[in-house]
Amino acid sequence: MSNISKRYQGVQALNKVNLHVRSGEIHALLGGNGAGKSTLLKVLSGLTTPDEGSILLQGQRVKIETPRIAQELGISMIHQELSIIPDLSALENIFLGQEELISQRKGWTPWVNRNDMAERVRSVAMEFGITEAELWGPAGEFGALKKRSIEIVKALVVQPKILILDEPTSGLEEHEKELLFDHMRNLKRLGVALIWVTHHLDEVFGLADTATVIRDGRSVAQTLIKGLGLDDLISLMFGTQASALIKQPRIGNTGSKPQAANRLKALEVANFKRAGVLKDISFDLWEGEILGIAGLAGAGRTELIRAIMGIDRVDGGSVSIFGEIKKIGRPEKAYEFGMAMVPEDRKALGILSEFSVQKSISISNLLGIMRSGFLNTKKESDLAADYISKFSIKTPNAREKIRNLSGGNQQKVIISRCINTNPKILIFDEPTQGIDIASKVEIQNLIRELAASGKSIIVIASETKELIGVSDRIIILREGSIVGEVKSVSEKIQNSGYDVVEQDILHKSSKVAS
Amino acid sequence: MFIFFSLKTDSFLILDSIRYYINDAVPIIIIAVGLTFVIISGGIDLSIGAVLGLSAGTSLMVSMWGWPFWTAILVGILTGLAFGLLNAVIITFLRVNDFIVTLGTLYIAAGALTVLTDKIQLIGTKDTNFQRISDMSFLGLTSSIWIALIIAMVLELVLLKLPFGRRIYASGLGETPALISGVNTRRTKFGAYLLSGGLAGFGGVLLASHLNSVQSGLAGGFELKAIAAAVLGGVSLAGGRGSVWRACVGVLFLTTLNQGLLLMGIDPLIFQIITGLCILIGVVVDRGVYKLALTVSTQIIDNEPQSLDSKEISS
Repeated sequence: MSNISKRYQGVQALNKVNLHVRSGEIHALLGGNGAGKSTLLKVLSGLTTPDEGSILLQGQRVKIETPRIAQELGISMIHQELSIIPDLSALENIFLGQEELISQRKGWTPWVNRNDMAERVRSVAMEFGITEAELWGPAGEFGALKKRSIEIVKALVVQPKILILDEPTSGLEEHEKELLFDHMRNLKRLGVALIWVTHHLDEVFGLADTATVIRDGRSVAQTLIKGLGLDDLISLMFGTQASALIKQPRIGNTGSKPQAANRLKALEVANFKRAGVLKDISFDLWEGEILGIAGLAGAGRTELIRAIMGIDRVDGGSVSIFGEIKKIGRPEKAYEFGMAMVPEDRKALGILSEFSVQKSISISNLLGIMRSGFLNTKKESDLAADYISKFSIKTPNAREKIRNLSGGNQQKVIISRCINTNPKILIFDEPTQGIDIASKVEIQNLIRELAASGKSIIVIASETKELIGVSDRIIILREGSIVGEVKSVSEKIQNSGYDVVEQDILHKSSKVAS
Repeated sequence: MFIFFSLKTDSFLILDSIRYYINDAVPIIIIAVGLTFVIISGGIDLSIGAVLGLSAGTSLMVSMWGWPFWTAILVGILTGLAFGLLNAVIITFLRVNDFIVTLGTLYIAAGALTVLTDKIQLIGTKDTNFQRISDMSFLGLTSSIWIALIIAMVLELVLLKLPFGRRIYASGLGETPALISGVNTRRTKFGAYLLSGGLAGFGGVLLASHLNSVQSGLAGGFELKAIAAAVLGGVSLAGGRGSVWRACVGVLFLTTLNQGLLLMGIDPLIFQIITGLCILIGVVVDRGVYKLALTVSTQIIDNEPQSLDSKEISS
């Protein structure tokens, strides 16, 4: 692809971007949020057409106007979000939208023959760990890795020359990621060109051969991965200014901790139970503390905090806030009692997409912008202006719709919304999911600052490194129970080293129940 | 369109004619206002037409018993509120699909009116006070029109300037994200259905007072006119977008169209076809305009985020 440009409703999304991928290589496509990666991929997969530039496929100039044409040219894409239809079998999912691959073989019959389907994919499916029985079973029952495998098989059934993987590891556990990487190496051996988009830069090393880095809609570098370090990639992606910000020493939050004797218990969760999800969970949260909750997907982390916030019902257990037992029941009660939550899955659970930035910030505390009985626009925009400058939220103005902001800035708006309720306890569920490294660091620093100012904080993060980096104390959940605790993260790192702490957490969270 | 009909027919622009057809549109305006709240909150209320009819019946009945006019008003509103409450409880507490619930209550209300009119001949109350509710005249307009105007203005204010209104929008944009941000979505939707029912009840009172006679099937299909009008005015059926005045503009558009066609001497048999075409064209054109506006507005703000970026890097 050379000199690809694309303007979107007046925004220059791509500006003469070049991308050269050879067959049989894994090519990492890197860039911060909004750099233009997705737009470039959309151009390549026929979801949108470029304003200028050309695409050459094996020396031939091609026009990719629809996804169908892309498919016929041998370009397959695996999207970041899983697009499995749960009620269809794995087999039907694999052939969804490409049924004619089969009916062509059958001549005149319009019917879809499932046995033909199975025959065609059986060997590929086996290779990706999908058994015969699973092929016929409903896809909804599979875990994230199996679903991902189904998508890969789906992409391979058309025998692609180019396979695009957009954040393929999202939602996968560590060992599942390794399996996926093995599959990627296999494909490379088969001569497929892989274009791989990821935010997790550490994954790139040892797997990708080359990388193209995009920044602000321009390709800034095409380079071999060999011989590069993480820092090199970061400065390519964000420029030297931003990478200095990322590398700056983290704000210490252990020194000024009040001693155990005079600390207040901000939150006490006792005997939380919910059939099949939470098994008798009790823990405390101290004032000014950052408590990390570790665990694999499905361990019950999100379910636990949803229960605390009153979003889901519990079968038993109690919550005390600063020593008083409170009956929460519904989220607005939790806010009344001084709690606030930044949910996971920003797009589906976090933002109210049509709301402006200022409406998004004020919604959790509408009484705060009332004047003589009515909502006051002036007060509302002043409030928003405060938070925009305080957290340096990048937005054209306070009336811009929140959905037009980048992921990191959306997250800052949601954090503003929570802070605006003046909470004593803040809960963050995967606060840095799907946002680029620069914003990630900003948000982690923000969390530490909030704790330093006396807020009590619970953080859930799937990346163990991130969790260790931000938490004072970590509890580990497995299958709905607390199976371990790191009492003081900083002390333990000093005494036994970082790797031991990380290994300990990973080990405890994944050990099979005996 | 208004001007088009004025030129095409001699009688369109006569003040009496305008006053007359707007007066007829009042019940639809009133239920469209309540419906707007429900739709923006992410729901739908199909029962309003039938509830309006039934409320007209109950209030006229009470008036015919010789009760004072204000009790007749009260009974009409209470009838509407009862149905609003029924809808609200089943939809928000039992979590049953709003479409099917309000379809059910539509049949109940319509059926109840049939039974009522079968038992009692609802023609004519002698209470002139009751008739005067809708037919008094101030400054050249009937009291019905004034009442509709006041209701629309007050409720627009509620929607845009009160926390309840803001929560209506939030619930419609996404029930779960709204819930997580501390909005009591259940109470909000409950309120919307209650309001919709109450307004349908009051609309029934005005209609009964105006017609002074109620038959089975009265106001049947009003809910569909109100929905069409609201959507035509720009209230999004997906929830979260729209406003009261937009819905009112939609009602006025549809009724003006109807009146204009009538005065042009077009065969009433094909009215519905033309109305349907206008709804389709209106909605499609509106969507195009919305997209265009989106393009223009993003072009205007285009330069700002870039300048912000460069500032950040240079600082």
